[in-house]
Amino acid sequence: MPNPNSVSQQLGQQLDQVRNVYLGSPIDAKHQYAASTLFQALFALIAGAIFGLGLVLSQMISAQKILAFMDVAGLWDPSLALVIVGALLVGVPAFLGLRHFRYSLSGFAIERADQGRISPQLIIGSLVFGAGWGLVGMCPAPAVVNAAHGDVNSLIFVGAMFGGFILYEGLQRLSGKTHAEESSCG
Amino acid sequence: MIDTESFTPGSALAGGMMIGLAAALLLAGSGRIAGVSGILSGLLRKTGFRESWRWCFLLGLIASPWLYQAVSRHYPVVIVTGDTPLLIVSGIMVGLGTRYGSGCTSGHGICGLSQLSLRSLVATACFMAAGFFMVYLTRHLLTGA
Repeated sequence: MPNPNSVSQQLGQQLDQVRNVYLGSPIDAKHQYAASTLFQALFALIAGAIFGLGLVLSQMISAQKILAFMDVAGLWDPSLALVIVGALLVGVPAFLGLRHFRYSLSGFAIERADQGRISPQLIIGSLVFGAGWGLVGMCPAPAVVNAAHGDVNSLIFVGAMFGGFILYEGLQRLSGKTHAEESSCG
Repeated sequence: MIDTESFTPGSALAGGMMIGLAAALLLAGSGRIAGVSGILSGLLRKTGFRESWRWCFLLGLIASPWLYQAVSRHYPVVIVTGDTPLLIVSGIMVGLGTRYGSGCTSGHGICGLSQLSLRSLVATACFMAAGFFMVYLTRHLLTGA
């Protein structure tokens, strides 16, 4: 019986082979090639720029607009919901399609991020993040864009956020944990 | 009640699609998940030539407002308010929370949901709910408005 999934997987393997012909063979963690690392960095540069342009265009860099989305009891601005809808319209087909590929165009393996478990840390961490987000209306990416554009409040926020990252590392070290089970979504 | 004057459905949808495209490009091109909190915190503990992509993604983000201004004359009005202690508390909570929760709006909300990950759906529901609650607390419960 034909299985559509295996057909698309075969297609994925064939495309992987085509990619190998043009960009060299895939590399693993032990074999690092300068060209692949540069390719990877170039894609990241373009992706970062498009990401930021999307944030500016959608006005998600304005904390006021984020807070207006969260304020359902006041004058509600649903824009943020449409930003997520727009991102998923592109993201869902792209991410599901990429499941059939093992290697990215730069040759590095495609990261899988959905393998961790739903732990108390995930829930408590997300609640703390959400509460901090709702305090000012800033989350990491818009804060970086604003700080780069000269917004002093966002710069203070970014500094404190890095303080939070360092605090996390310190707390992890105190409790003797490593980064072994890291299946991060960012 | 929907604030029809502030609601910007067209640019929100278009901007969102660009964000989705950027996440797809980073995964297809670099093999990486576009989770901004992870990319930034990784700068602190992962060093070396192999981690160049992190710096480049950050560079792209930093360049983006200037690129936007080079193309368009209408840079949106950005309002980020709060006194310094509030900004610091909020920043620390966001930094700490995204590390324990292993992702932020981009990592769980965009990339995770794009993979139809239940784990990311749970995380997104948690940080959205906490955000809504915090705004209700600060704008209505504490002020009596």
